[in-house]
Amino acid sequence: MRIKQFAATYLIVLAFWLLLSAHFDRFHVGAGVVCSVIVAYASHDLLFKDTEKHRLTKTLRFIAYLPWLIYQIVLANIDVAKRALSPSMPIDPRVVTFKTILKSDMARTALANSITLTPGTVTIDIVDDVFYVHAIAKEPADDLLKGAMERKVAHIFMED
Amino acid sequence: MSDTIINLTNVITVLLLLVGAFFMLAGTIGFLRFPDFYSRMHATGKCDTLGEGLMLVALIVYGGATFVSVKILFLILFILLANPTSTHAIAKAAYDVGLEPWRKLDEEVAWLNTGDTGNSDESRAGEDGGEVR
Repeated sequence: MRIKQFAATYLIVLAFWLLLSAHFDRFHVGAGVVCSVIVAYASHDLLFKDTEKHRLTKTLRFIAYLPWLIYQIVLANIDVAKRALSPSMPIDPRVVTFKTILKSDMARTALANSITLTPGTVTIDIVDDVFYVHAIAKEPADDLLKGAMERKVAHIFMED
Repeated sequence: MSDTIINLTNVITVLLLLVGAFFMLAGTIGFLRFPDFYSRMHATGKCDTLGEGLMLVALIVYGGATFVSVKILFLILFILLANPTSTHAIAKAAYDVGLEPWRKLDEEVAWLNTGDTGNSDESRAGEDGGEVR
């Protein structure tokens, strides 16, 4: 299993090297091959964990989640721009907490980053399974507590 | 024909750059206007993501399908990952130190104490009741 992880990491790192260097002469490719071995050896246990199941399904579901996330980022920016530019500055900041149903670190990280990217909310802290979220007004906080995003993330990481 | 395509590319590039610059500007204005640390995080952490993203997409459109464009695409991905993470890290640091978030309520209470707000909900309900009787 270790050799599989190593090979997969090696191929990804090498592909990335070739992409970034964009030179295909003997020196650059040779340096890439050597460096990729070192980097892949040092970090082969970071990228893939062999305990993880259904990796392909999770990846595909995450890619399917991205367009919705980008749409939410656009909404977030319009929302913040509106609040910043309107003369009355309609903000009413508050800190809300909620208990999450997610278990894995990966899923919690994805949810925390999604909360930060979506309109009006920033994740401050995660203590055990409680999220501390700073909301800029009442409506974003209420939207968050309905838990639509949490269910989406739970679906991706197959924890629903 | 190829002239039209080049013009169209230029128009799209300029539009994306302008919209990106607008969001960066809005983020900066928000940063200056918002009352406390945490709400300023909203302005900078969010507008930067889309502002930078749109500007980089503009560069991809302008550059066409080259190696540099692929590098820029990866740059966008890394910004998408790094921006919320660093926002969260800074906010957590402030929260751990014990910085209290600003509340609008405090300001309203201060106004009530100076007797400047005569149109609160309770007083209005009282007036309506009086008219009925």
